[in-house]
Amino acid sequence: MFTTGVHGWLYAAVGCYGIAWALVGLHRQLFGRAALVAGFLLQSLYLAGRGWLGGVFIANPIVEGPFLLPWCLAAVSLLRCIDRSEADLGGMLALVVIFSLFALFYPKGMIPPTPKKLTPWAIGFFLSESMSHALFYISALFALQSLIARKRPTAYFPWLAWGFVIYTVAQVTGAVWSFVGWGNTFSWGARHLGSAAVWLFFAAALHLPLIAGWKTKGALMAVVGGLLVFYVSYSGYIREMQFLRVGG
Amino acid sequence: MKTVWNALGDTRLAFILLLAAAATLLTGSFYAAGNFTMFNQLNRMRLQDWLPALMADRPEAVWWIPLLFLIMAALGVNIVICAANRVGRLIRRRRGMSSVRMLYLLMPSLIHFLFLMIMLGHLATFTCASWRTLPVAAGAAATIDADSAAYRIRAVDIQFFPASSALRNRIAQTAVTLVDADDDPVRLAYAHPVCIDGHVLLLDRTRKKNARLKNDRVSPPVDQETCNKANVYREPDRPREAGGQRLLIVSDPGLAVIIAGLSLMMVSMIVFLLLKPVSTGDRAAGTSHTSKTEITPTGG
Repeated sequence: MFTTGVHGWLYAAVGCYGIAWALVGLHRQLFGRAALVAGFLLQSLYLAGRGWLGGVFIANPIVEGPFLLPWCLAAVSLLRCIDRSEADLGGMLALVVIFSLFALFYPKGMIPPTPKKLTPWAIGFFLSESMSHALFYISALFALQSLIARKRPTAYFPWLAWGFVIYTVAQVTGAVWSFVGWGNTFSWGARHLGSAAVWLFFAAALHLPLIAGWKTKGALMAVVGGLLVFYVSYSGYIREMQFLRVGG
Repeated sequence: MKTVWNALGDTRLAFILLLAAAATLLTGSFYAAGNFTMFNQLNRMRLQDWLPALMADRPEAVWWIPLLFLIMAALGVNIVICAANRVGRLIRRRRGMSSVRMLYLLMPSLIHFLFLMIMLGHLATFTCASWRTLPVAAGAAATIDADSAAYRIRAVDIQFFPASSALRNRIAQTAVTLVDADDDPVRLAYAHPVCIDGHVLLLDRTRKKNARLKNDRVSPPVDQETCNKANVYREPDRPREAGGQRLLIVSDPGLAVIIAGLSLMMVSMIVFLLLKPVSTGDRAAGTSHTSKTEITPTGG
């Protein structure tokens, strides 16, 4: 594909995201959204091109977390634009830019997939995991804003609830993938244990609003949850930077 | 008695136990990251065969596992009481309530019972499952268990990525054909297991001893094995029949329970959130007071 291995597409996408953030900050909503759409299209093309990094089409590099997460955040921001004209785009675009910047410095090649990773269950797992992470980060952002500005105290909650549901989808696809690949629905490894810890943490966070007297701590839980997701996922991504890669 | 019952089914206790379980799992992930080989053995062994010896030899690395099971047991008791209380209250108030509304209000309790089901499924896997490996070679016998029909490995077909690609010399897929006494074929491949007589047969692979690969950017020492198996599926000289293939025979009584529970829980959550009226969203988000006797849509 014409975007395969051409990282200029990623740099251009990140540039568009940065411009979109600046324009929205300057209250140029229309131009800001246009830049967001441009960035999203450029990044979509770049991600599609990653599928041919090995010389044959393999979907795994497309759904690699550091590259897919900013795309998920941008997709949610775009949907928010359509859903609500007065959407709070600034904060969400800040997340898109921050996570895109990490992708710029991340190794661009693909980790050679083993045959056990060439299954739709793996793709479903990475897709749902990245999308849930995006929703958890947005939830944490809105929760932080509510703690600082003391307004919209429950705005974070739907994001957290949907993040949790999609993270459950990741647990289902992950469990099936783990079984068909390795013969266990739960593996006693750092990745699975960390993932289960995140799921249980957000399960606890969802119970907090039901407890009289404790419900005001819900926003704080969402912020801590966002930090936990960041730690668990990005410590893994940083470790994977040392892995053998091809293409890119 | 009633006080103890209510305390055991309290949502505050559920919150604390969920947080404690999350903290224990996170702590466990640090130990698992530093002792990959040791914890990886637990993926092929029953807990009661693995844990006692390590509790004696390496208690500092495995202490969190009994603690995790203790917390999950307490959480199980809490869920049963909390959900039973709520279902009981709902049934007492069902008069005048539409069946759709009733079903909607029952969904959170259903989700909690499904979580319980998943926990029990995992317990069954950890304590009752068995894993056995057989070497894969064309012509070799493959005995699944004493009561099953005898199988023989008829063919092993290894497919590599195209030589023109950057993934040349790497295995793309391997198909193993088994035949029974009637010569009826059964095909399995990586990530495409088959089920025979209640056993799941998977294809696995381990790196051959002393195998040396060129251009390894990552060659972890033996005691620092990682989960990255990219080089296990690489054949530098691309032989016609690569070794190291294993047939993994799994008997897991928890498998169906876990997968069914997880799938139903996922569907229930999606349906519940999609059907959620705006007003209940606000209530669940904390804009209304939740009294002890009130039935909230999201209450356990």
